[in-house]
Amino acid sequence: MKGLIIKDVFALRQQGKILLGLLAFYAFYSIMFENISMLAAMIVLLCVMLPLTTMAYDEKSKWEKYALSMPIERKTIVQSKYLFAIVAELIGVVIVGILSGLIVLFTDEMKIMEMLIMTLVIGGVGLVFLAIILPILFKFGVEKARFIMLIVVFIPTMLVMMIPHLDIVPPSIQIVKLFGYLSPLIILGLLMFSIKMSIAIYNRKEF
Amino acid sequence: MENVLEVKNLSKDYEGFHLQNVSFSLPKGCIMGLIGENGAGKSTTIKLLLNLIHRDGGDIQIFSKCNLTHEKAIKEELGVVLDESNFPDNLCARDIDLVMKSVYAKWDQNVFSSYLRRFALPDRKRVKDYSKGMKMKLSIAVALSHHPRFLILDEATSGLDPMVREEILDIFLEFIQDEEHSILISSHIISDLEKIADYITFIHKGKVMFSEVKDSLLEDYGILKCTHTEFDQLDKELIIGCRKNQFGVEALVRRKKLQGKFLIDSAGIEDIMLFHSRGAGR
Repeated sequence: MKGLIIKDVFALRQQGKILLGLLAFYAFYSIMFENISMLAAMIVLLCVMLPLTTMAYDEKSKWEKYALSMPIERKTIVQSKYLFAIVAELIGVVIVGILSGLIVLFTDEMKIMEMLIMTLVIGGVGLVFLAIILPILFKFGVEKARFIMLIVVFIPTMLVMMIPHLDIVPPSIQIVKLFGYLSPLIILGLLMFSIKMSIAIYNRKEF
Repeated sequence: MENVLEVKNLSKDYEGFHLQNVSFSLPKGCIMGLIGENGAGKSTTIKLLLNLIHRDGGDIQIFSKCNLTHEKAIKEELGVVLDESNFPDNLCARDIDLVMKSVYAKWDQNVFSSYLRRFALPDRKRVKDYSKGMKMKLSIAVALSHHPRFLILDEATSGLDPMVREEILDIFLEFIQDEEHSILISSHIISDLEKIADYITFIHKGKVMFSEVKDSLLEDYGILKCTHTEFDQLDKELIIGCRKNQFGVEALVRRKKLQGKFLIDSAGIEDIMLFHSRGAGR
């Protein structure tokens, strides 16, 4: 497990500089315009892209076939991808948290509570995306999964955009709150299920 | 003698290709060459040994242990080289050292760096800037640096120039000096295997045609040279494969079975393989 994660970090080293550059740019942008949502969205997107990038490297060099000839179990390969993506996302969320903290501190743009909730929601959305996307990546490989991913990201966005036009009665504050409190459990359950599914998919894979 | 590898009735069905009842065994301390044309089933067999693909039948024992139930323990003591370098492009040898340290329990950094020096592999240069020979040497260095007892090599020498191949074969011969060590090597460069192998297993269209000691193969088989009329009078049971031209016939035969006065040349492994597949195609 450790070896696999070290390998992913090394493989991303080159990209890491570009990623950090992008992050710095959006961080600067968000502080200048006192708008954190752009940065937050970028971070979530980048974190979702990270496992995709490492898996693309793996595919290109046929690393998995080689890794499986070593004392590495199939499920460890799957778990390492999840761990890597989740840790990367948490780091991203912490960065968003700190930056928005700074914005709150120096301006009156947002309330502390509002900021915390926003950061957490973004973190949660990122995890949900990971839970959906990783099994697709393991099943179809990076090449095909790319298009499927577009759809996966596109449909929810469409739905959210359609909501105002649909005359749906918005749920009461209580229900939203309840959903908010339950969401960590829901996300955790979703991730567990997603890992289980990915392992089952990966165990059947032939190299 | 104890076997390091035992394969029994191994089968795998693909669309248009079937690996059928492949059985062979490799005694400890020996080198076995796996030969056969492209697509004959060599790589499929090796993938099955490593559980990279799922078998449809049969049984594999490595170090006298089932390779499904003791997979991890077996792989700790296995050195594997596949037909290409499988490291992500932008890693360097130093990175690989760090990665492998957490992968193999018995990874030996000193052994690894001594191989890097011996192969003149720069440890800071990225793998993507290595030449093909260097990549292969790197894979071999990795395969040897965790004190393995058994090397499995899939086309490890193909695509390399004769000098590098010679160097690599020497490493293998060095490895085999320890009588606890064994090697299974697949290749379609027969001359390499002829140099180092003790056993030859020939796979043709998913079936094992023979799996024998190399020297007895060379003793047993011969190439009969005769005229068409002489050939027509022979018992066809004796002919394994033949090649006819307007001047006469060349046929692979088992020397002992052929009675009478004939001109029989010695047959190399390559001849034996070629005539076998020709015969099977009749």
